[in-house]
Amino acid sequence: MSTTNSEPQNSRRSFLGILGAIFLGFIGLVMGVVSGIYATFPAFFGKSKKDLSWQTIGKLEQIPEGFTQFTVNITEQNGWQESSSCQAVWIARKGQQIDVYSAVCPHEGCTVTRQGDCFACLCHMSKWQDDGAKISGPTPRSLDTLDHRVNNNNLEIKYESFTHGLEQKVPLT
Amino acid sequence: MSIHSHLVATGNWIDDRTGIKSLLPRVQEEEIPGGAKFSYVFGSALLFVFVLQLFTGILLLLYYVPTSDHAHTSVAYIQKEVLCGAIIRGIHHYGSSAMVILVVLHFLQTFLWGAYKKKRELLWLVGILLFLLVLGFSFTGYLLPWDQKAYFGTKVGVSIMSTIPIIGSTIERIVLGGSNLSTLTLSRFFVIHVVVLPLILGISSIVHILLFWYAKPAGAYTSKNLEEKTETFYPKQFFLNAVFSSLIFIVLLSISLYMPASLEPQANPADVNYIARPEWYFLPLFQLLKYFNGRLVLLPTMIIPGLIFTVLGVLPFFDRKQERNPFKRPICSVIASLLLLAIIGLMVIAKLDDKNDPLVSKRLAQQSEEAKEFLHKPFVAQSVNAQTIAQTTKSPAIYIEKCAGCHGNSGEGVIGPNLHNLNNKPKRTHNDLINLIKKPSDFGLNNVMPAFTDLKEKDYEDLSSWILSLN
Repeated sequence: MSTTNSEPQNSRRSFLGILGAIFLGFIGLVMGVVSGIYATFPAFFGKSKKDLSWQTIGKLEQIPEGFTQFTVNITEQNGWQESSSCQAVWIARKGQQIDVYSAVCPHEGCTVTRQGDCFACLCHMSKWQDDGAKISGPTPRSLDTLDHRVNNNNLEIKYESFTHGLEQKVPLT
Repeated sequence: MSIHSHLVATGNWIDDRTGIKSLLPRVQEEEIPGGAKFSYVFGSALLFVFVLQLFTGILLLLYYVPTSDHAHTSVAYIQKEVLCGAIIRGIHHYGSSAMVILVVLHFLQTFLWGAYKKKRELLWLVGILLFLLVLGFSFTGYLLPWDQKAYFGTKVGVSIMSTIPIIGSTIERIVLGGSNLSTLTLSRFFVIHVVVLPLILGISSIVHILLFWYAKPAGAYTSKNLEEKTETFYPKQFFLNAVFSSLIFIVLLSISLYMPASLEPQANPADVNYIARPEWYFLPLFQLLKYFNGRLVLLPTMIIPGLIFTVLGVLPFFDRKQERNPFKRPICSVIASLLLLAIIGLMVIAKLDDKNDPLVSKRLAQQSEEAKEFLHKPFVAQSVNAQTIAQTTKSPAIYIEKCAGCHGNSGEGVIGPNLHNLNNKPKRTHNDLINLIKKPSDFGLNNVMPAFTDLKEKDYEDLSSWILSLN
């Protein structure tokens, strides 16, 4: 190393140093953006194919009076994988009147069961009336109802998931 | 206070607690013999590409699944679906070639400049180990996409190990994890590629760099003024290194964008027409293999490469003259040049052989066409439940014959509905299903499913039981 530390050499030193750092910074920036997009892809850009078709529960005459738990088979695409899972729903029947509730608790997503003569989530002790209205506990809203219809004497439902923790029922996208 | 003084204050605060500034001059004030040069960039470029490989490799792990039933789909997902996935995979894929090219250049330069001589023997030995590790990386990484060339290429590579006398077949069994190339082989290669080799290479690189710092750069063999004119690493050599690394980065990025890394269709072990070819840098070995048969096969697979690396390894212990000029070291230089010529020659002959054989060239062209075609087909997600079932219970022959066309080979549903979890549904008991197959219209399936009335009674029984077992 030459030992003189004259003004022009100092400025040349810092110029080359900064230029070199800019080159490396450029690589870092490109890789940062590319890997950021790549890593968050499923969260923001991914096609998560949801099965929102009508699912047959069964013939109308096979739906018992009172509260019955049924399962529906949901096909979902998560990344490279297409998988199906069973989801529980509650069907409340009173004569010709039928209501369908999701068995997912609107509070933190535990499973809603029947306890005594009301709906209850045993994780955090939320309770709902037979018509799904909130009685007590930390749940922010009533039970989530699901769309249903009677087609060809079959009861059909559309299974959907909703955002937890909100006072309104907002479908998960 | 200006931004600058804030930065300085922060820097001082960190230095008070880490003493980092006392380390920095070690790098900054490194003396470069004869001044900064572009010919001194290869070592740092290797370090750069290695870091790039680590980084992109970790990102690939975000989606990659190392089992034979999902590996290919997950790689296709990265390549075709994930935004920027083709870039990350492309950089990693072409980065491996860059790694081999750079390691050869670095090695050749050290050899020609006689920079392996006294005081640098250990540095040189660790360098040879690093060279071998780079080749190990490319060999193990080749299998991971589980496409045709991965499967057949690795099969040949592993078979070569079995030619070793006495212990060969045992080694092959251990490497494969059994007698076949299977999902267990993939797991082994995966663990070696992403855990074992990076650890060894990382530690070896650190040792290599520490030894290099201790021995000081050897510099070019020539230039009488090496002693007189020295310059510190920072800023000019740092700048040149940054320029060269950026250049490599831009080249890798561009190739990944304009010539996406290839992905062939999923490995099909039953494909008798597939012609396996190794990655370009293994072509010389591959070509050499053609000239020897019988017991002599050991020459190209073990003896020649083993001899070359052994000679290289012991070289600094025998070549003890301090002369570094390659023109004054004729034996070394001539042998090295011949070796290099032979390697390049074999590579060219391997390519020409393929080109001149009409059958091979046609098939290879076809394979690359198939690869392109596969790459352009839209991504199809893998239905996982259907797969698991297919593996646990085999479908009855009558199902494949009569039903699979509409309901899929594993009952996953194609034109006809998915047959899984039917026992959750009403009117789908064992007897219901038999009646349904005989007369679908009784079950509300008008004009959709044909009636199958002429099967044997046992066939109805088998079909119904199997379908109800699909959960």
